Amino acid sequence: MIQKYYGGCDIGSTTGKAVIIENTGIILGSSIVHREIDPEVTAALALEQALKNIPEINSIKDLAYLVGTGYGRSEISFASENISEISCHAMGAFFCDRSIKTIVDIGGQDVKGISINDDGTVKEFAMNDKCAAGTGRFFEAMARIFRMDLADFSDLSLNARDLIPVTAQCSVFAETEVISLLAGKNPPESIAAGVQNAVAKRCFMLLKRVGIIPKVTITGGCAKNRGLIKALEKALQEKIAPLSVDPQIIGALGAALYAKKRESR
Amino acid sequence: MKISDLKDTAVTSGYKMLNLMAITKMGIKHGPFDLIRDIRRYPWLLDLAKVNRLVTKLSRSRRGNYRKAVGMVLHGIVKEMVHQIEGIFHRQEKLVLHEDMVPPEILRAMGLSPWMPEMLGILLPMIVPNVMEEYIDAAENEGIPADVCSLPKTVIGLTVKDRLPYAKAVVTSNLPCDGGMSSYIYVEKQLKAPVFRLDIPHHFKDERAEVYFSGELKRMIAWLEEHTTGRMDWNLLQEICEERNRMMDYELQLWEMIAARPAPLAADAVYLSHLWFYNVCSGLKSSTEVFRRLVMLAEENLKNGVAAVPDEKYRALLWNPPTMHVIDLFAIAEKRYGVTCIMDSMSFNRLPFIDTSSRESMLQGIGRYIMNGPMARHTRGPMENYFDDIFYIIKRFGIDMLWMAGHIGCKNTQALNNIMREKCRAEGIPVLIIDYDLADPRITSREGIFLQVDHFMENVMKAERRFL
Amino acid sequence: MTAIDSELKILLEKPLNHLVERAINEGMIPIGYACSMVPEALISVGKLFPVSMRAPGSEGTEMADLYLSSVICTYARSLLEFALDDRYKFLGGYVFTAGCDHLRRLHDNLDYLKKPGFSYILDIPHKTGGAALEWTIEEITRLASALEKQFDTDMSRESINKAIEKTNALNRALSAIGTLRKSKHPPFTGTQYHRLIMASRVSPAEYMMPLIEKFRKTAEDSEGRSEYRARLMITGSGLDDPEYTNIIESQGALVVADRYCSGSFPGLEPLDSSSNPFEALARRTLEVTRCPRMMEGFNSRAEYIAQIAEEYSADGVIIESIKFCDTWGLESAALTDQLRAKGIPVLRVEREYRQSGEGQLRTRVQAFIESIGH
Repeated sequence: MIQKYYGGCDIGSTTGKAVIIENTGIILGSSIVHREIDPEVTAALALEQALKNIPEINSIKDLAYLVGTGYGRSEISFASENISEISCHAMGAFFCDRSIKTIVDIGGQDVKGISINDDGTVKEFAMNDKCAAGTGRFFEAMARIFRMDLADFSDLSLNARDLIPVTAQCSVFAETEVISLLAGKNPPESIAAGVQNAVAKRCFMLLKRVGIIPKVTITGGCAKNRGLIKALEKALQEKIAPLSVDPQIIGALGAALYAKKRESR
Repeated sequence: MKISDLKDTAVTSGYKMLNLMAITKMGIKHGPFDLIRDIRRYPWLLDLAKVNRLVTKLSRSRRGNYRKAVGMVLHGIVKEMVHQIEGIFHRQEKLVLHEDMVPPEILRAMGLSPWMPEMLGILLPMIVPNVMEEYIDAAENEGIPADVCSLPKTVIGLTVKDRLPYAKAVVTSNLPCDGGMSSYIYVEKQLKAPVFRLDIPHHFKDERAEVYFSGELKRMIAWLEEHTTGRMDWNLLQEICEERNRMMDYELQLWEMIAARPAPLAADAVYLSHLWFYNVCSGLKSSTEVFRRLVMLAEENLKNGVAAVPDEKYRALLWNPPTMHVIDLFAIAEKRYGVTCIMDSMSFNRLPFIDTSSRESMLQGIGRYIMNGPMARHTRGPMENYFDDIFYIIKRFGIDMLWMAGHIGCKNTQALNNIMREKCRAEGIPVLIIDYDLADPRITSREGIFLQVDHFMENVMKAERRFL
Repeated sequence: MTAIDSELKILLEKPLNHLVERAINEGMIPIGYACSMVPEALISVGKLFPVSMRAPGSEGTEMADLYLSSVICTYARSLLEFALDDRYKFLGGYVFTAGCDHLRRLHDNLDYLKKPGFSYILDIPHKTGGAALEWTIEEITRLASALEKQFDTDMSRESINKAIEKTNALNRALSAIGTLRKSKHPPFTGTQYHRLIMASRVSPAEYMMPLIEKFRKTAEDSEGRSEYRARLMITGSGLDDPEYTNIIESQGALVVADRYCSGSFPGLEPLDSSSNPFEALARRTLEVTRCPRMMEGFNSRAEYIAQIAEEYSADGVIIESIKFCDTWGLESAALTDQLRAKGIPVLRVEREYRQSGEGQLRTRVQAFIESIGH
């Protein structure tokens, strides 16, 4: 059997991700790069990095099929096809763990709830309102207010003894609220717990719209936010199943899996 | 170019010509001086005159009898609209403004000239999508909260900008929602015309409600006789009701045919005809004629095995009023995915014919269709009405999916969306809820609406998009 | 005043207060209601007593947002959230009205999510007049039978008339105190009076009467208040949180009159307890409540507010409407113009059911008082 290589490229609003797989689905290379202004440039950079350590492949042209996904998917001219990130996240997560039924995907600019069928395809999905509250960008803004980097902010709430309620209906209001809570000398970790709790509740509501069936997992950049995961587990009263693959590249992995499927049609 | 294509082009051109002729004739009859004066008073007349854009939008992707049906329905709308505008021009002493849930049949039987203020907010965005923004802004500048439904806001905007005709009287009701009901405070204030308000009970399926409401209709008639020159002509009302029954007879035949898979006619040919001819001008011979011809066109397609949408793949039920400023939603979805809109909540009903044997029975029949009308039973009444209808239609018309035009200003239906999701999930019916605003494209743009459609079709329905 | 005020404050902290608890222990049955068009006297018959539904200390409405959506008013959403959290478990049942779109859908969703043992929706016409009155009498008669059947309470005319007398006595006592607000130096604040009224709407009348009496006595012994910058009237959507009044008064205003659901105007007028009680209750619902959900009578509603403002020498009127409330949202725009045309200064504010945007409200009220010229 001739070895073929498939690529998936997920161009999000803050990062670009690429995954290269072979026939069997084994991941040969992956990458996460910062977004450039031009989505196509981001895609090229992400792919270049993912291909770097695969000696058998010299360039994108050696890929049998390439699927673009994510916010900038339609701008990738060298992709064979583009598929929405909703389907890709579902397929990627399903590939990692076939018992996953529900996904919350938190990207840079939106949050999605996805329920999946027995074959990894999408059953239902719901997206957040036109607001950044609860997204990666929201967490970045929060970390700035706390004068921390994102990783430290993610862990801050884990030490909280108490929780100060924060409404995260709107990112702008949430920021104002947090600023005044901090000014009021409230313990930062309790405020952070309030922020995580508010976002977790929003995710929970989104998941309720598609129906929550275990196992539930989280994908996207914010899946690395430990404070959020803890809050989400509390809201769902359900463990969040960890994935064997970096949750941030699940969309790109799904795209690569679709690439393999589409090529063999 | 194939001969059939030439034929199609000829059909659409023909209807466009007829539309232009009807509009021009009206203008000439009115005289240039009066016409210019009235165009300045009612600038929306110029937007209405662009109706052939709508014809193009809805015809270009349709073929054969389907295209013919669309052209014919739109021409029927143009003819009646011309007649209504002539009412403003020439019959002002008989002009009565009526809200969209007040039966115009009674007004016509009284020799009055009805004009529905909501009609503009429904019709104009179909022709010029962003045309109501000006009126919505005017209403909000008056202090009307942004979250109130944009349709009553268009009425308030038209009122405060003095772009509604002066009427001798206004008749309104508590339907279909609180926003619509309360908007008439402004119409009353601005027009300084006397207002009668019809009251429809919540539990309208109760027999007691029928008696109460036909009493309301009687009080409305007596009030109109007191405040206008209109006099009730019961024989004329009987004729109108009988004509309406004949139209309904045809419509039932049409529904019987579109239940077939693939459907011989679909989407706007079906829902625009109901929306207009039942709510604006039922009981006219010309309206019945439109339905008679729709039946003929459907019958012919059925006989010849022609589907309205070639390669019909998904049968949709449209819930809520159609997306007015993206009225070609289904024209595009048909081409892109083979989505066929079979039935919609605004058209479907299970009402008996109006019994014309006595005055009492006619009023009860009219009362029944108002109380059980679309939106009335879905937005005013208990939620059972809503879900009973959905699942009945799904079964009767072989529906594959539900498209909910989730108008953000419709609080009544927004508050049932999650129950709808859960009930449909239990029945295995995929649901697309389109977040948008009925009259304001700034809330969700055309692209935003199609993005939601694409996401749903590609992810949930696993539809292959046909690149055209 | 502080002692009685603190006692009242405690009664408003949670739906199940200690007076309600005491009544339940004594075999009485609380009936929740969420619209001032519900005839309170009818749910005061025999062992029944009315409890105006509130969601004090609501921290969020996530589940309710999911079902009712975020475009339904936060009062309805907060009630649903509390109901789902079993905060109304102590109630024997609910009486709602088809008062507005929001309440009707609350009833629908509650029925779907957590069907209560007893839940009744009163279908009240949107206008007055003979036919509407007849309809309402029939509705109230039906409600009485349903209550009788469910709670085994005697719903004879005599017992309803007795309940009307009990409600009248409570309302008379409240209204007598309220009249003191007409004076140039009222002996209590608007916030204190708001607490008194609200406590009376959420506690059994029998146990409230001594507290009302205590309030009256303390008021009589207190010195009048003279340190205020402006006398204000509050009107608008149902306002069951005295803290809102408190924020307004914190800017130097004295709230001397109000016209909102569960407030003092209208609704404290005694009803006729000598004839057909169903008609007396129906008339109150249709003719006294003056909710903008009634299609007719905008001018008379506006007139009524102007008249109260004059009687109580209010320097200005604050119109507050809960966000997403259609009837008040539309009414208040027109009402603002109408009152201003009469020379009455008006501040119009939108608010959420749950207290938020406190700072903004303070600033606006302060600026309003300054603009009145005080």
